[in-house]
Amino acid sequence: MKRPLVAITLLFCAGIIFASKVRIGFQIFYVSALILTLFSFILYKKAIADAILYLIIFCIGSSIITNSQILPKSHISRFVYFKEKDPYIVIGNLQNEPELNNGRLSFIINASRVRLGKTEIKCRGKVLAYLNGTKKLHYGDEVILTGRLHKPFAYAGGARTNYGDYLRSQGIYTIMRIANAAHVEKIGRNRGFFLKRIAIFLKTKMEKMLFNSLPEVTAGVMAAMILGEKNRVPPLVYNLMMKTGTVHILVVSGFNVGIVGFITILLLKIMRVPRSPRIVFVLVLLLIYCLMTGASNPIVRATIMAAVFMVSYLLKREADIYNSCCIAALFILFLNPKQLFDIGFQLSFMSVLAIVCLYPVFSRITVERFAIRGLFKFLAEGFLVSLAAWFGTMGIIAFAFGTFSPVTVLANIFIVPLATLITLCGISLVAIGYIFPLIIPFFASVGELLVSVLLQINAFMSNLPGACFRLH
Amino acid sequence: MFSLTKDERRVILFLTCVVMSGMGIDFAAKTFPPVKRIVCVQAGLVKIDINQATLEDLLSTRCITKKLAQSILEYRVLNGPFRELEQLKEVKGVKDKRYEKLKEVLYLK
Repeated sequence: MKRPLVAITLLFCAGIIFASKVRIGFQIFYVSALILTLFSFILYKKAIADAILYLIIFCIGSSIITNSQILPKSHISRFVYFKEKDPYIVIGNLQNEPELNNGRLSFIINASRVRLGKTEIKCRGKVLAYLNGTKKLHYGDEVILTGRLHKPFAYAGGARTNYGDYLRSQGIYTIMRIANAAHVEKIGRNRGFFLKRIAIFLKTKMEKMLFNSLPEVTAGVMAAMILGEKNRVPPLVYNLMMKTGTVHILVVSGFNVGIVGFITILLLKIMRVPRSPRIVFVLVLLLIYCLMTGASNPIVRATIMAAVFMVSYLLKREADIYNSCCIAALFILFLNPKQLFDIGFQLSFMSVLAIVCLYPVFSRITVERFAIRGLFKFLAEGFLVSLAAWFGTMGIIAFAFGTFSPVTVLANIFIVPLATLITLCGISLVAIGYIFPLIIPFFASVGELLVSVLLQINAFMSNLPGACFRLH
Repeated sequence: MFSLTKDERRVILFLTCVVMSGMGIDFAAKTFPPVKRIVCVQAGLVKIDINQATLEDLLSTRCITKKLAQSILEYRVLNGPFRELEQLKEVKGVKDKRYEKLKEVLYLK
């Protein structure tokens, strides 16, 4: 079989879906997998061996998700008591850079010890902490927090996926509310992964350069497109982009990974760096970029796919897009099988697969059949890529968000090329700006114009009749 | 010695295009006000006009609750269109801190 990973991935996903729907314990799936493994050794040379191997994959998928739902005895959520009035003291390391929203700081810690009264217990697990006020904290800091601990609540009104479910899918089973900064004590630094610390440092510097060189709105849009910082995009802009189905340009994804990879390879070629070191350098840079932008599903998928292609190039082997997509999916699902039910995961993979499967078909029946050339070919290809991605994702978007945007295909023809130019301009600004600060104003002017044109086109598209329909 | 590779040509062409465009845009924006209106992001693209906003528009921002949105619309019905943004302080539930937040998402055309 040319693409064995496709069958493996599909069966693995089927196992995850099956186990999440039925109430069967981890032990059943695990023992089944063990028995099947034994049979696969016994019947190794028989025709049925392949079927047994696929069943094992199915059982492994089921085992992984059922196992992920079992919390260890030392998990911090097991020490959260309902109606506990005394404050908890939790000691742990910060897992991310804190975010400030409406005067409240939020961050995630990996708890190592918890104290209630005079009892101190070793524990593990993530805690989402909310602090009223601000405090200078960074990724990797070891802290002692004092506050109220509770389990996540569901939103009132019964949303399809409530906040508690969302947090649990991210591995967070406990929330801590801290009254003020006096209840946060920093006792250590630099405990995290060193590459992530470098990534966060670079991100902070790049964000500072963007906001120092550009007006706030332009810098906010560029920071979202390049660094994954969506917090400073004006709400109206975000909502209009949701309406026109172009909000994906504000999410760092494979598109950005491609541009960063392309620019880096180009610059290294110019510097006459040999092929192997060039590829290794690009892989490390893409890993840092992945960490810098928050390592969301689309970025992890794109980084792994890019890594597979580059390693194939290095080893002089043919890379296959379906196999590389499957490797990325398996990587994400092994780490966290609940991501299969995450909208971002589904949209990211569906859009890539739709483009890969549908675009050649559309191209054959239009561009190739009518021998379209030149600028029309370029425009037609852009349209067909948007159309393929739209076909692949409209079902998921309609189900999850209750919207149907026919204007998406038309809007993407204009907005995606603009977004490419804005990303190129922004990356050039932050990369070259440190070396030649005198050229920053020129890049800033071009960036401002491009963002202004993008927002005007988007506003125009959203006002077209029939641009977007609400389904529920 | 002076011949460029295809990649070098691409990079130099991109950089020179951006620098030349930047200089041209900068000059045009300083000299011709209509150009400045195209180049700079206008308030209408990123903020909501307080006198045209519907309940849905106000709720779509992150900092206006349903109660506050209804109070703003009620004020507009009773007192007519807002003549200045500071009038928001007269709406029930809007004090100085809330007003500073509302200024980030609302504007007066």
